[in-house]
Amino acid sequence: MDSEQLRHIERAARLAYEWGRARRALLGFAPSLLLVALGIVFTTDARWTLVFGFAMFLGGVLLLWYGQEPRRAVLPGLLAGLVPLTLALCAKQMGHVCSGDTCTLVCLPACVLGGGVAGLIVAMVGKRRQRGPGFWLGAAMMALSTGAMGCACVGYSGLIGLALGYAAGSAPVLVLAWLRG
Amino acid sequence: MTDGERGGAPLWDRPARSREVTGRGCIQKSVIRAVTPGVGAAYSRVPACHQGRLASNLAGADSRQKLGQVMDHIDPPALDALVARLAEGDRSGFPTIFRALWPPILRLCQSLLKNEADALDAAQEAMEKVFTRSSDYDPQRAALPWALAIAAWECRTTLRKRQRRREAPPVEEEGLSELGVSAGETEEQFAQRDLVRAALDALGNLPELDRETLTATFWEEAATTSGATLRKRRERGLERLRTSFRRLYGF
Repeated sequence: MDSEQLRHIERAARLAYEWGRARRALLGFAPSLLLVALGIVFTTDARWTLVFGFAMFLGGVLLLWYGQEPRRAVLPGLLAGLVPLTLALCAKQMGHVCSGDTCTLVCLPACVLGGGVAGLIVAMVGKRRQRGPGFWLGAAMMALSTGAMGCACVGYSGLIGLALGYAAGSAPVLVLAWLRG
Repeated sequence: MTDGERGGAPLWDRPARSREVTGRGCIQKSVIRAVTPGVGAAYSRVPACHQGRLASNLAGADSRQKLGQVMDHIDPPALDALVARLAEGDRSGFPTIFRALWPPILRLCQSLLKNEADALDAAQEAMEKVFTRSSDYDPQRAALPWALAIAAWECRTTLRKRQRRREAPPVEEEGLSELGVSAGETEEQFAQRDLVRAALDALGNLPELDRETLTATFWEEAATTSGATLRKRRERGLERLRTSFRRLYGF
C-alpha cells in the first residue's frame, strides 16, 4: 500500500466524518421545521416566515455540523427566539389595542420586548457557562432568525425592534461580565 | 473443556499482555477456545499461530514496513481524548486519529479475512464507518476497542458477503498456493476459518458494549483498560457469547 492510497483512504474517511456530522445535524434539527410550519399557520405573510424559517433551519444545521462552541448555542438560541416569535404571533392575532380614542398596534412592542427577553436569556446562559464568541454569535443568529419569523409581520420596523431589543437585553449582562473581568 | 483442562487461569482473569499470545492468530485461537469449549478437540489440530503466520505472509514485509511508517504511536488516553474532541467537532486531531487507528484496524481485518484485498476494502469501510459514527462516540469508553468493534463487525459483513457469493474458497485456495501453504494445512485452514466465521457471527449477535469488551479482550492491542469492571464485563460478555454460539450452532 503506497502513501497515495493511504491519502485517498484518509480523504474518504474525512468525507465520511463530515457527511456523518451533516446527516446527524439535519436529522437532529429537523423537528425545528415544525416551528416554521406553526409560524406559517399563524402569520398573515407566509413568505417572510418561510425566508427566516429557512435561514433559522440552515443556520441551526450549520452550527450543529460545525460543532464545538457554536453547536452549544443552538438550543439556547432557539429557545430564546421562541419568546419574540410567540409574542409577535400573539400580538398579530390580537391586532391592536385601543385606549380611549387612540388605537396602537402591539406587534412592534411585542417584538422589542421579546427581543429583550431573548437577549437576556442568551446572555445569562452564555455568562453562566462562560462561553466564547462562537456561542454568542451562534445564539444571536438562532434567536434573531427564530424571532424574525414572527416579527416580520410588521415589516422592517419589527425586525429592527427585535434586533434592538435583543441588544438591549444582552448588553447589561455582557457589560457587567466585562467589568468584572 | 474447562479452564483447568486448558491450563492456567480463566481467560478473563489473565492480564492482557501475559496471555498465551505470540501472534494475532493465537488471539483468534483464544476467541475460539473461549467461545466453543465443545469443539476444542477439533480445533486443537490447528497449528498454533497458523493464522498469524498466514496474515503476516499476506501482509508482506514491505507493506508492514510501509504501515509502520504511517503509524502514530499514541497513548490510549490521548487517543480517547482526541476522539472525544473529534466527536465535539474539533477536526485538528483528525490526521493523528486516522494514523493511530488505521494500522490496528488493517491488522485486525487482515487477521480475520486472510485476504489482502478484502482486508484493505474492509479496513477502508471500517475507517469510514468509525469516522461517520465518531459524533456518537461516548467519551466514557475507550476509543480503540470501540473502533475495533466496528471493524470486526465490518469484517463479519465482508465474510458474509463472501460466503453468499461463494467467492471465498477459490480465492483462498489460490492465495494459499501462492503462499506455499500445504494442502494438509489448507483443510485445517478451512475448518479454522469456519470456526472464526461462526465465532464472529455469534459475536455479531451481542450488544455493542459486549462486542467492544470482547474485542478489547481478544485483540491484544485493544486491551487498554483493566480493573474489576472490565473483568466483570468480560465474564458477562463471554457468557452471552457462549449462549449465542450454542443457540446458533447447537454446541
